[in-house]
Amino acid sequence: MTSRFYTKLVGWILILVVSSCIDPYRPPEISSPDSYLVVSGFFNSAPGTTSTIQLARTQNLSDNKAPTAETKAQVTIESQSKAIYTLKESTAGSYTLTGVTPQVGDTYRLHIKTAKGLDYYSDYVPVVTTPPIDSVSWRVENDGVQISANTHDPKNSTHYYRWEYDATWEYYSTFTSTHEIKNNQIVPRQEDVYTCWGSESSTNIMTFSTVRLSQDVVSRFPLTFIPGTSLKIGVRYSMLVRQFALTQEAFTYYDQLGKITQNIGSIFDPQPTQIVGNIHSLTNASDLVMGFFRVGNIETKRIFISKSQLPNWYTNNGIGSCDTDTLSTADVRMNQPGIISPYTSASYITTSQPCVDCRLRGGVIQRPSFW
Amino acid sequence: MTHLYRITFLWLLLIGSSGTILAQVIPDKSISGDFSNLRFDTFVERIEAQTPYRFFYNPAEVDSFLVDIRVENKPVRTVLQQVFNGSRYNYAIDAQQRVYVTVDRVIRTDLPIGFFRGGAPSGSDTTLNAYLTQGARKVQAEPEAKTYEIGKRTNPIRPGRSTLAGFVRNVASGEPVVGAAIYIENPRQGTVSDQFGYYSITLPRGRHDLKLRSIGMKDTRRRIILYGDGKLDIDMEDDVIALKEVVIEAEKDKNISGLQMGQERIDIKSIKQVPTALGEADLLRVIQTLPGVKTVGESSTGLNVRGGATDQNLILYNDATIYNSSHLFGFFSAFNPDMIKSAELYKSAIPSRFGGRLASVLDVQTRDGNKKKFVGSGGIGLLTGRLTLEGPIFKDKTSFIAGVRSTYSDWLLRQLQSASFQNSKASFYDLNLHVTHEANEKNTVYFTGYLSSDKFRLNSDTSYQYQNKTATLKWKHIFNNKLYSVFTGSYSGYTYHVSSDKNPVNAYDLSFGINQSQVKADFNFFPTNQHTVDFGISSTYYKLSPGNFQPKGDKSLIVPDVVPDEQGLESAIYLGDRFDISPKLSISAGLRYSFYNYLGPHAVYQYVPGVPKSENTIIDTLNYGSGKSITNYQGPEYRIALRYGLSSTASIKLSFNRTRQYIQMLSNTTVISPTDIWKLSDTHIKPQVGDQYAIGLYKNNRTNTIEMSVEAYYKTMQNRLDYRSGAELILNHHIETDVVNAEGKAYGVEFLVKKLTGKLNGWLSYTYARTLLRTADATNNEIINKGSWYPSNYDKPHDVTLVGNYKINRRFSLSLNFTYSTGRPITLPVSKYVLDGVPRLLYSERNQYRIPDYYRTDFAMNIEGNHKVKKLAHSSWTIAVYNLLGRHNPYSVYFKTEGYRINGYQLSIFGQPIPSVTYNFRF
Repeated sequence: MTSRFYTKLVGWILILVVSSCIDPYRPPEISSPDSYLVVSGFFNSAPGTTSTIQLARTQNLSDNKAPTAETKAQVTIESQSKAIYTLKESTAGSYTLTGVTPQVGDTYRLHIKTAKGLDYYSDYVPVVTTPPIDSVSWRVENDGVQISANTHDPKNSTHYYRWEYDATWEYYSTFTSTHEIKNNQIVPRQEDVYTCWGSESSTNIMTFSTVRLSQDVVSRFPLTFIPGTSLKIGVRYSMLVRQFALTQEAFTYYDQLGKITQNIGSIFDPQPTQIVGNIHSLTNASDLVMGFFRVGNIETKRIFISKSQLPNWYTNNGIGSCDTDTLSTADVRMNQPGIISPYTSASYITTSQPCVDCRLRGGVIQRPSFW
Repeated sequence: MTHLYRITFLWLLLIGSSGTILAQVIPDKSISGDFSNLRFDTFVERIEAQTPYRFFYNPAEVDSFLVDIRVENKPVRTVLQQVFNGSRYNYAIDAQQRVYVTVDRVIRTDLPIGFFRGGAPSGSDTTLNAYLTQGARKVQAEPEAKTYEIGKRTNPIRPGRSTLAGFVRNVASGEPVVGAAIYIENPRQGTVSDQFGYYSITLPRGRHDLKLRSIGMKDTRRRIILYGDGKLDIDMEDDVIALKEVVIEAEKDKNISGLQMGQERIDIKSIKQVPTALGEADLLRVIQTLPGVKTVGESSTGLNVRGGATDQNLILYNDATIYNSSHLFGFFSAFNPDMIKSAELYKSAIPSRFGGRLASVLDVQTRDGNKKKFVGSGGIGLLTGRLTLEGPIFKDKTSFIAGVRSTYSDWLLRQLQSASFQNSKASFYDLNLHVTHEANEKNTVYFTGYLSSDKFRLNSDTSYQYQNKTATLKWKHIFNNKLYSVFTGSYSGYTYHVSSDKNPVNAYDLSFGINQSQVKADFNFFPTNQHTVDFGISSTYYKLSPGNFQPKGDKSLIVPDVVPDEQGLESAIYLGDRFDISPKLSISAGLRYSFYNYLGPHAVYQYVPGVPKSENTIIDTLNYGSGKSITNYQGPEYRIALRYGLSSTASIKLSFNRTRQYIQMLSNTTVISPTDIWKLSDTHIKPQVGDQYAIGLYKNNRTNTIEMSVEAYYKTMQNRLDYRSGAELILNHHIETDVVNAEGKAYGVEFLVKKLTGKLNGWLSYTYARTLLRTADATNNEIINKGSWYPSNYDKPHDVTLVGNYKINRRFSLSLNFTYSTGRPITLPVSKYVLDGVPRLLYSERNQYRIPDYYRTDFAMNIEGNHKVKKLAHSSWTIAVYNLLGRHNPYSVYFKTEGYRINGYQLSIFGQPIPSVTYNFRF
């Protein structure tokens, strides 16, 4: 008894000794007024498309508001052959240009003159034509689905690729629901909350270079892996893949940006560094600009994967087992459960809300246009 | 007869013996005068002029004593009483009006009552007892009274010089005494015993009084008559702590008279009195308190010496290189305190016999085993236990010392009810064996074996393991008094494994290894007393396995990935001479010439010239066969030092040294981590070259008890490695694409005040130092901070360290440490932004910010057991509190995305005071 106590005591002393402590850390410059220009978007070289350049400002780390848009700027795209195209501000900070198709062989740069009168120029960049996506393939491996991109450039000139995707999946509630509680009244449900579509976009920067290959071929570049039990592939899954070709400079920029902002937090963390793209202030080199101006087109491809095409995996719906309970009207009003259906005139079969309302798992009930 | 003997003895011992009785009363003469601010000898001259009194004293003992008194017609006795009141000096006046001035004890000018009757002296006469005990002790030290004849006796003594050599040993254990000063005073000439306790000194033939001094040993002397070359082994006695009258005066003017600068010698006694986090004496922690030595953080035993990176230190353990000097995330150093005798750190003026690293050499020496009897020692701390045994194998010929140290942290973790702790593991052990065999007078053989192993897993599925292995075989051969040699063969191995087997599909084993084999021959030659020459040759073969990634288990789907092995051969020849031009001026000049070959088999990528190296610019691969030289580098390394004595207590020294380094550690974490890999210089990665200029001013005060020094240095480093943003170092088949060739410069001033004797001892140091890097080479993959100078990860400009120790009495002592340093540089995110819909962080330019300043106080108390000579075991307790004030010193800062917010956190390794208790024993 006492020796047990002793060993426990020693153990706790050990914890005290080896346990470190973590305090909130506010970097001294967290309230720094420096705010840099952030340039998103690109000059789309596909004929008949609209190019959008979005301008915003960097924010303090503690700032939880949406980024401030950079409004009332004069945004132009200038070609080396002296053509100048002016972009119009459509919504705040969003500048668009329609009806201009960049010419392959010419080079272009972005010129931004902010409302404060500061000039920013990008380097001249060539028009990079993106080869079409050959296929978005998927295969079952490691008890899940690995989705990959395949492409090639017959001219062997592209070499640098980047991908993004938007994923959408259909999923169901465990039970249909006939009634809902509105203003503490039990009323018939007007909307179908049984079927939802969840979605997400890629956040990782995915790049690949084929320079070391004898042919400009990308074979099965891994885009994402979905575990077999994921809700995403419980019914039907769709992925829209966007592919764009990059210059070597753009590739380096995105690759480095990816390395320092993704997968941080392990003991192999590299030292973080400052990464700046190809847009610079005309007058002040220390006035940084985030983002990389590029000219090119996007190739897209959409695929669908249905549950029936996959092995018979158990789907983890993310809400556990949906137990039902029969509650009186008064109890329903008090506990606010999810209602499956009336049981008697004074009682209802109920379950937890997420088991009847698919929206509580992040999806929307509007059927996407492509579905 | 015995009486006569006693009388002679007592008179012999007049100086340096004790007594309290004043001389018999005789009429006293009065004096007058203004004796303000007089040197003692001037004061004496003036009194001797006024009175018949004659003074007898040792001028060296009173040279710093100033008299400040004004008297009007006062008796001499009263005046002296006033002058010496409160000082360490005592005086006695005998019947012939002779005044004896002594330090600490009074001369007895008469014999005790009843002395000639032969009866037992009365018990109350403590003075007499003290005399008699002292006499008995002195009998043991009889060699001091004897005269040794060296060489073949001739009559008359031939003119000229002869060389005397031999070993200095500890009389109790037979261990060699390293760094003992052996000298004669007239003409002033001396030498210092080397790491084997060996010394060689060339003196004019004739009678000499050879004096010896060393740290922790009682001063001794030998009377010699030198007829010719010869050998004299000298035994020194331990400086027994219980005897108050022994004052340690070891190497007391070494910093003034020696040529070495930027060198610190730490012996185990100093190591043991510095408090550490977990109670165990830790060599590297003590090294970190020295000026010019910095570390990035709490749990790092990595040293940054004068702006050098952690891989630029040559850490030698009995001549074998140690690649990872830490245990248990750096909380313990790899050295068992019971095994170490001393450590020497060279920050500048690195002797030409060392090479291969840019910044410093840390030469750690183990003790030799006790040659006379079996003894043991050990300790039990909060997390570790250790046991060391030593003793003779063949008495006076062969001895061994073996030590083991281990943790019981695994057992403790298992006791915890929390599952997360039960899943964690952290343990280490190390084993040491050192055997010394003295085959005959001319040949001694040493063997050292060392193994250390660490394992840990922190509530995750990934476990880490690393291991150091070294073996050294040394043969010391004495050709003659003027020449001896040491042949050394050593092996150092370092390996680590990272493995994960939680998910059998992803189970892997990642391993890395270094094997280093070295042979070398070192010669020491003493041609004349003005020259000390050393020369030698060495060759080191490296074989590295830079990364081997293998599936673990049958189910693993990991694709094996092996980075091909690397081989290299580093050889060097060196010659150095220390030339004492005059007693004031000496110069030490050395040249080391190193050659390096990067050897096949290996495939070497060729890149488009003139543009940054990347996977995209590989144009060809050249395959080299086994043993083929792929590329080679070579160059001279100059080691020059100059000393000029300004006075007997001050000197100025200058040095320049160049060093070359052919193997480097790749790490883009700031601390030494077990996953760091080492890389040999190759076609693309050039060897590092460092130049250091240093100047130092040294001054000793108060009869060499207080040492003060100022050293300034300026250093340049070429071909340092830094890493491009997002560099991948593990399993990288073309590391050259991820590294950036940087140049470095470092400069600083180091102030040190040191008091190693007395009740209050310790040192106070202040360092101002900067270390800056720059990547200006246009063919670099990346130009960091636009090619301007930026601070290195361990650039901490201000650093103040106080190590204080106060002996309350012989059994209790208190230690207090204080450390302040500027926070190290870090790169912080300065803003966030949303690019193409995804939040990203914008970091500052590299190392533009600093974590908060570091400030820590530690306290320790040592309690010794009683000092009875005969008892089962001598024990001591160390009670320590690390980080006494519980300050949260940030170790690192990181940022996490939580919801839509990005929050910053700082991690402190120790958030509260860390108490510890250690029990040490020896038997």
